[in-house]
Amino acid sequence: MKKISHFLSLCITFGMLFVSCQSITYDELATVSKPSYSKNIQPIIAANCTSCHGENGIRSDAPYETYAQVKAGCQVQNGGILCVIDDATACGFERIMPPTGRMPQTTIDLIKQWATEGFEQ
Amino acid sequence: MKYIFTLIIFLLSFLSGFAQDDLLNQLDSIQPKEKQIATSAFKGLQICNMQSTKLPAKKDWYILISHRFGDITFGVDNFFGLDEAITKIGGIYGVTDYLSIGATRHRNNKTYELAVKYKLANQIVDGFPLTIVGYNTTDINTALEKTVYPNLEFSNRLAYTSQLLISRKFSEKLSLEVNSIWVHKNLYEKDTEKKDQFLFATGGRYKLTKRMSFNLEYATRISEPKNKTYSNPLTAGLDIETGGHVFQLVFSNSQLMNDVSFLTNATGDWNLNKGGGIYFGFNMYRVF
Repeated sequence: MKKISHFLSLCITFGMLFVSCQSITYDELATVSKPSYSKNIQPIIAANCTSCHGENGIRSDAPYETYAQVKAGCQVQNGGILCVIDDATACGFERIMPPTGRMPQTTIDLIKQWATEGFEQ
Repeated sequence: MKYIFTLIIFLLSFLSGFAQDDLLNQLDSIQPKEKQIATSAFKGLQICNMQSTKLPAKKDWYILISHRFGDITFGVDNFFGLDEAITKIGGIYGVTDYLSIGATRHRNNKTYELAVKYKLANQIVDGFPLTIVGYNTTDINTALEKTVYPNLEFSNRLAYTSQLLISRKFSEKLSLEVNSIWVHKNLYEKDTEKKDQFLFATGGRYKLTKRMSFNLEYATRISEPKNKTYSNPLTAGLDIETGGHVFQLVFSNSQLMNDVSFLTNATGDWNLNKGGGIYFGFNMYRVF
């Protein structure tokens, strides 16, 4: 019985390894044509920004919790969100956001596309 | 006839007497030779970020809580990083003395990591010189959203590492380890990452006092991506053992802690002229 349980735990673990090893790039996966805030942008902001830029975060002075706040954050003079997520130091920010590391380029491009196409709500 | 019989008995007893002497001699010549495993090459299951060759004992439960704070080079602005913590939390179970399984959850990308660690060979005192351990992890990135990637499939969320860890305890104080590591990502960034990244890593532990040791580790990516967004991870740490807990303080150029990420997505750099990025944090292990 003991041997069976050991064998099973090994099988499960190695089985996981062979679920799939097929690799694709973020570019190949991204196919959003007309991004909107509620459908596409809000989930990105929620996953990457609002833990700090939210009501209880350390940057609650600059919250990004609503459509209006995020749109305003993209429209400030130096580019605001659009710049700090991509080329932060070039427009005067101290470092790139989020602090855990640059988001995938397709995610950055999607936010920029949303801005260029007129901040679809 | 009687004489012959007596002679044979006499000779046989004489021979058997010799044989007994032989056996007794053999007993004297065989040294008590028990295989003694060289224990405690490392105190923690990790050196700092990297895995050590230590496995939990059979039926031991470990609870792991790790934090990495923000970039300390920003100084008072983010209170030396303490304003920005990320967390990894999970459990590890020793199925046998040579096999353990673990599951953890990491805040970055809401990643779940499943891990298996298995011992292939033990270092023996006056015997086999090395401890050899295999380690495999599977990461599931649950932060990817269908709204951003409509064609997302479950397999796109996965990333793996396969590691061969080889260590030797040189003395009571010094243990060293070399690892060869393969990282595979099912979803990767074209310019800054590779779908298959091989790494060669090395680490060590030097015991300072009975309950404290200094640890150091470094991994180098073999044929790393041309775009230098990420660095090779270099981490220094201090183990503090406090009966039942192992507390590891670490300084690293990677804020991320799960194996796939700290090996291939370390954003910081120990060279402050290159932008810096040094993260302080700790791993805390509690055994049940």
